[in-house]
Amino acid sequence: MNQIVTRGIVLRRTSYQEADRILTILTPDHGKVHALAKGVRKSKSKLAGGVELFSVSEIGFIHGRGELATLTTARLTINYSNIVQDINRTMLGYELIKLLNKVTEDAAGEEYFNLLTDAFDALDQAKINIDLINLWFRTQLLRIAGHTPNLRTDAAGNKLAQEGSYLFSYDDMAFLQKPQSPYSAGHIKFLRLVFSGNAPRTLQQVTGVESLILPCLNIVQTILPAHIRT
Amino acid sequence: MNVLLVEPDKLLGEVAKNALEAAGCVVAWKRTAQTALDALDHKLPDVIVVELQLGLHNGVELLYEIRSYTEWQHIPFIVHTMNARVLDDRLSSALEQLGVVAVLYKPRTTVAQLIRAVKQIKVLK
Repeated sequence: MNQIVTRGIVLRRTSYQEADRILTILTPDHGKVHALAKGVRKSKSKLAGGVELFSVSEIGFIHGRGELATLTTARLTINYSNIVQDINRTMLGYELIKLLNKVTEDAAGEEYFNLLTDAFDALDQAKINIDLINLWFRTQLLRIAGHTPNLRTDAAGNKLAQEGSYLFSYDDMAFLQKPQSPYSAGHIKFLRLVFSGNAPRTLQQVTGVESLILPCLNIVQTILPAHIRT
Repeated sequence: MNVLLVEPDKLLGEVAKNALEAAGCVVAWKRTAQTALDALDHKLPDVIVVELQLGLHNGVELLYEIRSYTEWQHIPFIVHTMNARVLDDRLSSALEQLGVVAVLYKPRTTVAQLIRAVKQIKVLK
């Protein structure tokens, strides 16, 4: 049996017998790997440091006869240690890991691995607004799955105007112009930037970003469960 | 009633331990996340009273770590913390989902209230 060596991020850890754990590990090239890590509950295990959350590790594993692989080596390569210095960032980190684990199949592609490492990187930087990271992450999940809303024209196909106010139609996945509605051209422009895949660090520099995040997050949080199993 | 108290501060830990013992609880007091996990390996408590500010780790990590073990998923938590963020509704509801049955902000909590919250676990059980 050949050992496969790759990079991995732990998505889930459950206990197995006294000292072992079953890990769900997201890799860039082998999707999600379910592996048995032996002895990791013993503090002296050489595997223990490589199976921490909020980190990227170099892992080695062997496929067995069943669905469960066996983890043979794990070496921590990047540890996003600032995340756990802040309770809200830690909570969001766990939430994003859990969400990604739920929405991805075992054959998850490299884009999900990159999304999670980018999210850890943003969470690790205290300067980046936590709600922005939340919005950005959920938006990228929609984008990767091909559920980007129409941010160029309204539901009737008319070009969106710079003036006026808009409603978001969840059925049409597009904005509709309507007086006294909560969204402006600024919100739509911002959503375009987020859906274009710009990094949170870049989005943070948008003028007036603080007031744009939560209204946009409301839209994205409503769209997400309607299009992706969460 | 067996209580696992996770409190890094020596003075506050002693006060809480003594008060809970005087109220009839058997208390195992640990000052770090790792020693708390080691203690769980030896004896299952009825409740875990935990500070969220634990030096190298934060208590949220410890809560998630504990919940990742099937045999420890039913143990209720009481958060007893100096961290004012627990007063934020969003964090409180997230903690609730982790099985936190009471959130006590230390500057506004008396020892009697801590004991009452611990005793309440018995009622809930």
